[in-house]
Amino acid sequence: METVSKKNGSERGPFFEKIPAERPCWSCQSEKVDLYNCVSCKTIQEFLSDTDYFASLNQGYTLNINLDQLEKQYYELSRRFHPDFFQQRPKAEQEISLENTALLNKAYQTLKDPLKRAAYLIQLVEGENQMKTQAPASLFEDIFEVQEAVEEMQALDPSDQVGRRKREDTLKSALEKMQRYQKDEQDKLLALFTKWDQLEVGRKSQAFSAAQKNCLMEMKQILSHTGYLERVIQDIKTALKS
Amino acid sequence: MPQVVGIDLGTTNSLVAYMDGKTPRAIPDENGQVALPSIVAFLKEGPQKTLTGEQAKARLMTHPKETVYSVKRFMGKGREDLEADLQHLPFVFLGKGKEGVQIQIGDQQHSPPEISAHILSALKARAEKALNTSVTQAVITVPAYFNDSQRQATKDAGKLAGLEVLRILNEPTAASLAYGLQKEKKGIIAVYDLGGGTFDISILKINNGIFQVLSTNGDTHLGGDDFDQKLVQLIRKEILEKYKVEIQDFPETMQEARLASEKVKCALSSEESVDITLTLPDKKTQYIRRVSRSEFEKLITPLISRTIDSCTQALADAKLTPTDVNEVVLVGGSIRVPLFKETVGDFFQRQPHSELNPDEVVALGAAVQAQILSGAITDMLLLDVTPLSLGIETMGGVVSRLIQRNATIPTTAKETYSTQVDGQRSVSIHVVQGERELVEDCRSLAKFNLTGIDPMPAGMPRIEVTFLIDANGILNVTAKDLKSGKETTVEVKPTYGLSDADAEKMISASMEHAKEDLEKRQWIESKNEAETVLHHTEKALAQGASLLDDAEKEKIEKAIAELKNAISSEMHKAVREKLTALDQATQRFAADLMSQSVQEALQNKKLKDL
Repeated sequence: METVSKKNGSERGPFFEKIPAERPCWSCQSEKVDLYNCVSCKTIQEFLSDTDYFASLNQGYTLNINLDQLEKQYYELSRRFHPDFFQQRPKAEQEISLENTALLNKAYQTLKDPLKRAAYLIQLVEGENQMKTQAPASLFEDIFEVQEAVEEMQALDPSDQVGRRKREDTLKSALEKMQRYQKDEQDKLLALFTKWDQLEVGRKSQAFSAAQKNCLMEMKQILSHTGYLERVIQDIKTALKS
Repeated sequence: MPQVVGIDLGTTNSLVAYMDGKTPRAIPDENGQVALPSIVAFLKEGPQKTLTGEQAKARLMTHPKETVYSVKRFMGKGREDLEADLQHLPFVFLGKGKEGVQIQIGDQQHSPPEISAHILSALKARAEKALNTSVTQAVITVPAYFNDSQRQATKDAGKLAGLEVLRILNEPTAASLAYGLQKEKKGIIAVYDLGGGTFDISILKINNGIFQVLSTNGDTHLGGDDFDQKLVQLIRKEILEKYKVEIQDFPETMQEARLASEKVKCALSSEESVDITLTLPDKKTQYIRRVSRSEFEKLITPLISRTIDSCTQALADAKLTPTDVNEVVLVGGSIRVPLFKETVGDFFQRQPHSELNPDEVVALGAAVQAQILSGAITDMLLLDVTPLSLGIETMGGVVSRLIQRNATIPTTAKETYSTQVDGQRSVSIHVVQGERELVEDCRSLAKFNLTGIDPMPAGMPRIEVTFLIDANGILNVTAKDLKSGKETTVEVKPTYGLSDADAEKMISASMEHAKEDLEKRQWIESKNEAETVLHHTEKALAQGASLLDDAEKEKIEKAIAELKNAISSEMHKAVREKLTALDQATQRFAADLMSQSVQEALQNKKLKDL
């Protein structure tokens, strides 16, 4: 997918301008409709089918997000759309309220978490559904060692304290190394966030630039490694606990 | 204007409350009692003749087989879920395996929702009399950790009682609403709710009238009833040893032992020791025994530890530590046991409080929510979560998670399905709830059949299925044929879980079984990954043969053959090894392929940009 929007000419993000043109108010047919409401009759409007998480919360496509503001926006929109406030309204409005709220809930839970936020943006730009995880090459050996130690631990006689301690030490040192790796990669990721944001703020055309896409590719690589490692870390923790 | 009421349908007691102006109030009966014992007595005179509350309670000992208590424990359960309970209970249960359980009273059969409906009807009548108006709409509370079937059963009970259930509301969240109404609150609160039969912990963030649940956890089979049961078992064993009498064979005596234990438990909240007295089945021998508070506390310590485990998990899910919590609110009758206050206080390092009556606060909160739904309150809003992850069965019996636990509701997930055989007319989707990796270890919710698919070659139909968890925490499934745009029929076949598949058991089991799961998961994943890699490698070999010299090609083909061998050996470790080997063998090839396609992509790009 080359572009996220169909119209050009906005500094904030491309989708806001296209909305009024593409749908009249479902209730009063007025042409003056913004992202959320009909300007004339104030009735709530269904999000367009391609409204993404960023758009639904009125966010531009930047990755450094002010979480307090995001929460404030989410709360405000929840007050606007939540089904609790539409219980006495016509069925059509109830349905819009339900669908919009479901989208807002998912959008907020995704965007408030930096890793999910980045993964979502990549998915949005690339049009891919699922992020594949992959073991980082530099840690192949350690991952292998961990798997071996976990398996050996399971096979161990419960009375073999020495054997257990040996495996635990292996796992603990691997855990430490992997957590350090995760921390480093996360720092790299945050640096990429800033780089992306600079490119995004300066974006003139409606398509994302090649530099932006490269930046996303780098993020994708990091996420794929850290995502894989996160599971290994969980496995180590489970093994150490059992 | 008809009144919307809030109802706390409890394991031991039930209450109804309404909004008196801006104050929620519990409605008392004509004797001034607000708590209605959740007991239904069936009379011999006719199938429709029932008593509820205190009148029913009076018949517990005289008619144990016709007087049903703690029916909440059976809501939405299959027969096999209840095996462990059956020996303690005087009722006759019908049904097999996954069938919904039925209770045999005389020659009549009653489902748990039907029995609960009698309690709801009594509360409805009470409210109508007190408020002098008809009551047709209600908010009914359930434990936050109730699963989909249990919520559905509660909603059904409301319907049977002639009530339109505006909302199934989580009990701890309801309590937080009643608290929040008291004074302007802000910050993180933990609601620890220990009732007669269930335990919930919810972590909420309160800000400017928004009550956002961050996480919830619990145990729908842990409450005051279980403390009584610990004492009953103590008595039973001692009587068996001393008098050689198995009181379990005598429903009247068992019931007496249970009621005596309940009294002793309550007395021990203020006394250091209490005598427990029981008349044995011979109607002559008196069993008397002194129980000290410390002895009782020792009996229930394992139960307390389980609640603390839930608190730990809930905090972890909310990404918080105990000291992040600004206030701890205690709810439910069972928190009167002093040891709980202490243990919870120690865990959160903070004095818990219970300014509002812990028995009433849930009903009061339900009344507040009822007012929000009727449009009379607009400055408060609850954002609640689903307690359990929702997933569908995929290849190899592995669960593919669609909705994570603690996702804010309402929420949706979409999946696109197709057919596997030419001319296939229907597709079956198995939906499960739980935290485990494998379908067999989760609670089966329902099988959904998409029917009426136009006959087409395999893989051609594209049916988009939407899984929606609504604001009640109840699952709704709809399907759309993406080609024609028309709605597809969804047939629902609800299931009622597995023998050890209570929602909470699934979570604790998921910790216990993490090891086994890990092994099974590793094998399935390795196998799937290996098959995918093989597929891609073989495809790449066919396409990019020109990039390879003979020696390299041979090396890769050898690695492929070895990986295939490893798969058929079903050894996880071998598959891993051979996968790595294949990966190494193809590294240069993959890089070449990549740079080739990148170059192609860049060329395309430039063309387009021009």
